[in-house]
Amino acid sequence: MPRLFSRFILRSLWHQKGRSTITVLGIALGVAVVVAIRIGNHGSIESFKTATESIAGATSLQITAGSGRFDELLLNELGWLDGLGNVSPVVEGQVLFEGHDGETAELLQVLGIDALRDRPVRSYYLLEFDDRRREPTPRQLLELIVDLDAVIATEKFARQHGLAIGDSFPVVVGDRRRELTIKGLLLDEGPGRTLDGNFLLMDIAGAQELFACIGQLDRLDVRLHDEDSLEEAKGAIAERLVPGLIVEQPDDRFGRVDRMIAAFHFNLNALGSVSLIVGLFLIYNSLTISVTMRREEIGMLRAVGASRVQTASLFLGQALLLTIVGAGLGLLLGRILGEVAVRATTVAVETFYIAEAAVASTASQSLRWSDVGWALGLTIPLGLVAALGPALEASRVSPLEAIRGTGRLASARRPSRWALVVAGVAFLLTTVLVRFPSVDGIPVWGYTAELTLLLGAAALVPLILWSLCRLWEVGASSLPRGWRVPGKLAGANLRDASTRIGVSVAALVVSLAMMVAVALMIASFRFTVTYWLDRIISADIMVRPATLNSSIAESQMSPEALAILASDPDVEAIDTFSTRQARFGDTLVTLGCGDFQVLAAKGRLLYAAPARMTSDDVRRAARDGEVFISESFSLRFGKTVGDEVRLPTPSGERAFRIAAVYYDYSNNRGTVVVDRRTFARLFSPDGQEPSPASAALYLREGADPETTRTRLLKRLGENHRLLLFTQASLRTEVMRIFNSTFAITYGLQIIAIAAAVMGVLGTLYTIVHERRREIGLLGVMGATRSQIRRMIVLEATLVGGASQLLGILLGIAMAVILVFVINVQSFHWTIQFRPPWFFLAQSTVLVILASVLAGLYPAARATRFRSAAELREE
Amino acid sequence: MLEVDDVYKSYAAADAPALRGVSLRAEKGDFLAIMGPSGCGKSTLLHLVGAMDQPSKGRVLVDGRSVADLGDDELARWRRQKIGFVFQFFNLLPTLTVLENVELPRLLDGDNGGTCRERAQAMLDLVGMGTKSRRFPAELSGGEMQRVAIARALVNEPSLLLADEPTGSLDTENGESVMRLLAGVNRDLGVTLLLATHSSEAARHARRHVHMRDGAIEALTENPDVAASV
Ligand SMILES: Nc1ncnc2c1ncn2[C@@H]1O[C@H](COP(=O)(O)OP(=O)(O)O)[C@@H](O)[C@H]1O
Ligand SMILES: [Mg+2]
Repeated sequence: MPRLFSRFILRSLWHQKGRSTITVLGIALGVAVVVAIRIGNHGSIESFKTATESIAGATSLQITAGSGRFDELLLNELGWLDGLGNVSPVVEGQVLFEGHDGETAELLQVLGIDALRDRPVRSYYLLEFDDRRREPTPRQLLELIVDLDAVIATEKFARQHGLAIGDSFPVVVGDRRRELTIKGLLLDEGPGRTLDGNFLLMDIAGAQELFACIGQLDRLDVRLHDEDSLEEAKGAIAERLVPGLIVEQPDDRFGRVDRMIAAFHFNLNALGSVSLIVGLFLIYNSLTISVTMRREEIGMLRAVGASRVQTASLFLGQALLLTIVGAGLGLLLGRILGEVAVRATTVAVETFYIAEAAVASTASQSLRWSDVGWALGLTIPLGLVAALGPALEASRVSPLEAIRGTGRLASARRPSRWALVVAGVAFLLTTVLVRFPSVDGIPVWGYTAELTLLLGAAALVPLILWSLCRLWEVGASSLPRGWRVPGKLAGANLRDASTRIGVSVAALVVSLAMMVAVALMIASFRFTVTYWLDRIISADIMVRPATLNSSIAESQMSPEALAILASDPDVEAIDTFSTRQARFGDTLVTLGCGDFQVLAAKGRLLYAAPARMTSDDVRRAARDGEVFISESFSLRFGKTVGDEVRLPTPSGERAFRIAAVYYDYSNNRGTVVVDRRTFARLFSPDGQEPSPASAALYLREGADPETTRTRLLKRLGENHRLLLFTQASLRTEVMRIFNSTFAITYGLQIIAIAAAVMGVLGTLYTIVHERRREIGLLGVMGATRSQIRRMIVLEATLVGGASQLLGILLGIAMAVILVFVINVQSFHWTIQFRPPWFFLAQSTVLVILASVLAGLYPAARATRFRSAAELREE
Repeated sequence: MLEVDDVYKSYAAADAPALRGVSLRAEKGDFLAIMGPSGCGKSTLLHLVGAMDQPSKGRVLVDGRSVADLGDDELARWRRQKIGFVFQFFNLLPTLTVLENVELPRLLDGDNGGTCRERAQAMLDLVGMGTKSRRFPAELSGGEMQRVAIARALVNEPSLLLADEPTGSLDTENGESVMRLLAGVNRDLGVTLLLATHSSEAARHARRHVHMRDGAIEALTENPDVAASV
């Protein structure tokens, strides 16, 4: 069998290099996209998971404030906790490490502990600590980190950056630069494994000072004396806990983040599977072409004694080979793409989605065995399934075909009307399914609706093709002279073959439709966000610290930096904004805090409700302590103006009335915004207004934003690391991100063209092959070579054109579901439907051009029949 | 060794049956030429004998076995082990060398070892193509291609060799030399040979002539020239 395979299959693959290459590249691209997305996803989920797990140590329960930090004085009221277990207070945060070259920036996770109380919860193993023992006693650990700038870094981190014990290195916290000194090195164990070694251990006082939260704690880690009674202890603690504090397991925290990331990733994966499906279509078509073109050779093989099983296995082997080579290539390509994509998505994620995922940027992006296994485990069975039809077809070739050279006679059947029934039922199902809500935040029914829509459309393809051909035949009489006869014949030929080539054409239509749908969705999203940005950006300069906000760390601007900004002669007003994570029910939402007075005077928001929102309305909301919610919050939790939201505050849960719903495409988990004065009164442990995480500067009339920005940056100097965007540069930045996302659609366009070429080749070879005798006869009857060539090229154009037309129609229908159902269910925001007409026109031209070119090969083949042996037998 | 017993064959697409009650016997080492005008059913008969198609009615026995009740797997094995087929249009795989084309039936039979190559080379030597084993079919003349096809038909040592218009695509001279080769094979290897042809020139080498018309056998005659020479 191996030698047979190498001779019968490998050699013909080699002879059809062009076709084999297109197929392999098509699969490779499909796999690459999926793998790239997977690598990205995996990176973010895994790194967050290990970060939570390795830091948790032996923690059984964690006590936190529902949102933000809490006053360490509360510890005094929690003395009873010691009876249940060991309690270790913790301050956590993130700092940015900038390498010497000033180019690389990495996030470091900082854990501040009380060395004397932390011992039961976490174990630290140090390098070069003591000859015999690597684990320091609590007292020894305390001595190491007692200085405020003292840290224990990981050995891995130190090695990577050429640092040693005793060295100092700069980090950025919020906008401030600080120097930290390494006093010890952690081995790659326990907490040292956090974020792949990007971890610093500090004394709790040092961490409080570093993060400007003196007297506050992030949480208490509790290790129960009796681990078995976890649930009971949790209940007991929850009961006695002072208002504003909650108890949960370390896993809960991951679960919440996990669910949020899941929806985002599910959508990316759906995008990836589009390209995979097209890859499969390529396999199907490539095999169909092989089997059609080699019918006689297959018959010969059968005549000299090949069994059906042998024949089928040869072609399944061909599919297997193409799939494996394609998948292998795709893995490598995906690895490269993955790095690029991760960088791009990280930026996208940082800016638009979830800060947790940004943590991933520090994790190494590598190809895992699971990725390899996954790519092969998915593509190989699918590739074989795609090849099953053609392989069975090959096995049914009768030995007589080699001898007589007669394929099955073409069936001139009109496509079955049952297709109408099938399509009707499928479409009906679609309209029902789109009404179902999401399952756990994942639009399962939405995707099922896409599937039924696809199936229904695919079932209709032969019938539509048949009708289009009829139309074409009628129209063909108005073609220019030399094209009239070829035109008519082309229409008739295709119409006759419409049932048989239906599968190929339907698959092509589906591939094209998926490209169109994805391009449409991305274009609509881009349109919506730019429209939204244009409407809401009213400030002249936007400011934010170099580090970002996440559920682990709240990044802040220092008062000094803010003072520098405020003292600039050209700055007229500053609107500050801060955000933090807050628990809402059993998930996390964003709690925003802004200045409603500035908003009323200067700011702009795009309101979804109420219809009219005046400055006075905003001031009234501020006065009454009402909140604004983002559209995503409204859709996610079904709340609207006039409803109440219950939020955790240091004094327990409180209800807030919703004054307005506003559009927000910067965050899809849902945001509740309160006025800063309300915040200071109700949310702040110390009655202070929160340090802002970002600021918007309104300049004096006539001031130039770019000049002001440069001046401000100079005055902030090295000590304050802030990012300043002018309206123009913010817009450019957002568009840059979008364009990198949109680049995916051009990738899809390439795949679409490859699919079209293969689809046209596949169907045309089939038709030409089955009609070669007729074509020969045409020649005998006096048709010229160019007439025959024109006929075939017209057939190719018809197949390509009809597929593109149907693809666009189906694609638009699919995009409607994507935009209005799937998008809303997974991201909780509405986007405007904006088809990218230019892109669609361009794709159409390219697809038709590719079809014409693809038609030239079968045309050349067909004209050869005339002189060749096709008529010899008669 | 070959017994065709009142065989009928109808095609769905045609109104008149292609074979109408054909009966025929051949002993081991026999050489029959089936003759008649185009469309009389010669090829159809050969296909039934070669187990490439099933009769609508009647029996075909080769070595006392009917192929009617064989499954596809056994049928394929039967074809590659018992039957050798030579066609008018040679039907060589263009991407394989001459040697590789001849090896094909052995590979299909699971012979991956050295004997495969040896046997194929021996057969090529036998048909006088031994020196051109590395060529590709496109580099050969029609007569040479037909010799390669004969070598391929013989490589699994079949007991029955079927040749359907083997000289149909060849000029007289090449046709004659191919016929002499086939006759030699029949004589030296003792392979039963069934030749379908409308050329009396080609039939000259056969021991017996079967005359067909409209799907039935008209007459069966001994060929005096050959009968005498044996
Ligand atoms: N696959 C087929 N379908 C329909 N009719 C066929 C088929 N093969 C052969 N025939 C018909 O059967 C008759 C005998 O054909 P064949 O055996 O090829 O004749 P010969 O080989 O003597 O020229 C012819 O009339 C031919 O048209
Ligand atoms: Mg014939």
